[in-house]
Amino acid sequence: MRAGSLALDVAQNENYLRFSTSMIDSFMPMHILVGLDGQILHVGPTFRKFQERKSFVGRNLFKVLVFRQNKPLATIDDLAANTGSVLKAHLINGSVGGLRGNCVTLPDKQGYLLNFGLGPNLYGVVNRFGLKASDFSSSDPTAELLCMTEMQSFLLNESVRLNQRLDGAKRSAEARASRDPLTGLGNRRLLADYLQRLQARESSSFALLHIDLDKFKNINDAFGHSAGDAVLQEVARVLQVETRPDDVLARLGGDEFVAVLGHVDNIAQIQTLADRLIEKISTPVIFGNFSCQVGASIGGVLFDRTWTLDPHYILEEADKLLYAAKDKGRGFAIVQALAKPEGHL
Amino acid sequence: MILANMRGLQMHGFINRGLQSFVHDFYGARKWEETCVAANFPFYSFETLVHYENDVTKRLLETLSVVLERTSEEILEDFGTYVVTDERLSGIRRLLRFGGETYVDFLMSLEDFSARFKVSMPFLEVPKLHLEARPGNLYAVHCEYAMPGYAPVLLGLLRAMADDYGALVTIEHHTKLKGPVQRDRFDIRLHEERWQRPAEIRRLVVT
Repeated sequence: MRAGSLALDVAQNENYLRFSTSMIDSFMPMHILVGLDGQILHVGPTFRKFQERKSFVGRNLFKVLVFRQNKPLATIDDLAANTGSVLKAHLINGSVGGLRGNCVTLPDKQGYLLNFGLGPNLYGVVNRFGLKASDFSSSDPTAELLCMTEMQSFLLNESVRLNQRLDGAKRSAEARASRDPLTGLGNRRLLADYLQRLQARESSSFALLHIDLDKFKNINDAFGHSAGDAVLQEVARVLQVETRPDDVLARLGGDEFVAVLGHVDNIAQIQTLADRLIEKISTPVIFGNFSCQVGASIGGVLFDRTWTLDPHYILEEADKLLYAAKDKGRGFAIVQALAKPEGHL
Repeated sequence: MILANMRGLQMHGFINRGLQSFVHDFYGARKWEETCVAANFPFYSFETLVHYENDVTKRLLETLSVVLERTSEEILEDFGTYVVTDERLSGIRRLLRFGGETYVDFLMSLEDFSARFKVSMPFLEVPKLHLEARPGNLYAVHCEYAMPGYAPVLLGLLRAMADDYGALVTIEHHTKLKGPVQRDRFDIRLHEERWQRPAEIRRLVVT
């Protein structure tokens, strides 16, 4: 019967339930009770941790909190007008910002009860004041939120790091895939890409030199592969020194090299360069106690980039001239302007 | 999207990467590289968010045991200590300390922890923990985990947190395998709750 009469009392009188401040402390550890004169009467245990030297109790609410409403909220009458709306506030002492809460009128209109949460500043405030799970109501998901925040920032860091590593790995894989690892020159793939892209560049003529070493096999046979590698590296160095930075150099494997020279239109000029290359390449390379000498033959073509040419066609034409040079005896360079292919005006 | 991609992710990446940092910091880069070579790994670095087979972690632990001349259990226990004491992982320690003011509060909050990790990372298989308070200041932490053999990490963590709270405890570890699932029990005897001053939590600067 008692339970029934309680139900009746609660139903008939909204103000029937009475809570002690310690009950409210446990349910709402961040609450503030204010009297009708604006004086703070009681502060919840967690909110109390935010006070510096001076206790909050006994002070005027508006000397402790600044409210950030659309309309000014600086008196107890303003507060009365805001019961039921969301209150945004920060502490005047600057220690806690971003508080969110609401305010209700106490039974018998003796004052007001304000309750706050930490809003978006939760993480910072918890760390600053060393708050524990017990500083929050047990029904409050703060602990879950903190756990998620920590995990999220950890996972985000890991993910950013992983992406950076993958990006670096991708770049170096790409660089390796188009480079000859021995000489650092481009490889066949890089050359093909470059010749393809030539079609889209500014109008000017190009020369392609196909360079083949003479007697290279002898070096490997007589002095071993590391001597051969040293010779190939020296040839690469000569090519780099004798050409311009924008020219593209590639090693096609074995002892075959290609140089693509931009902005040249003079056959004689190219012939001079090719002859100089042969001379430099023929200078003996000292490897340990050995003097390794190779020679070179070169077939070269001059072509206009406005002709849409198949890279294979250019290479084949240069190759034909290379074999003609080899037939003449070793150490010759033959350079010709490429005939305009059929279909071009 | 990330959640969908990571569903069913085991903790191997976390453990491998964690062990890597631990060995790196405590034994040096050369010992770590030596381990990778000896274990025949084609790389020197693990990733937290990459899936690795169970065998990789097994091989890593076996090789570490040889290279560092310590048992896997000892290494894992030290790793558990490292997880809660290393400055770069301070977030984990802060979360654990959030559980309460005392070591007993912390033990009480352990159960919630596995649940919270589940909320944060629903895709990750984490150990299930259960606390049982017994008479005479004795607490039993029960741990159930689909990956057997990793319980010493928890032992290291429980010991390090006792130091952190300044509590004097002795911990006994019991283990038994039930099917594929390993059940571990840690009997913790609390001799003194405030034996030392608890360590300070380094507070972050609020920005």
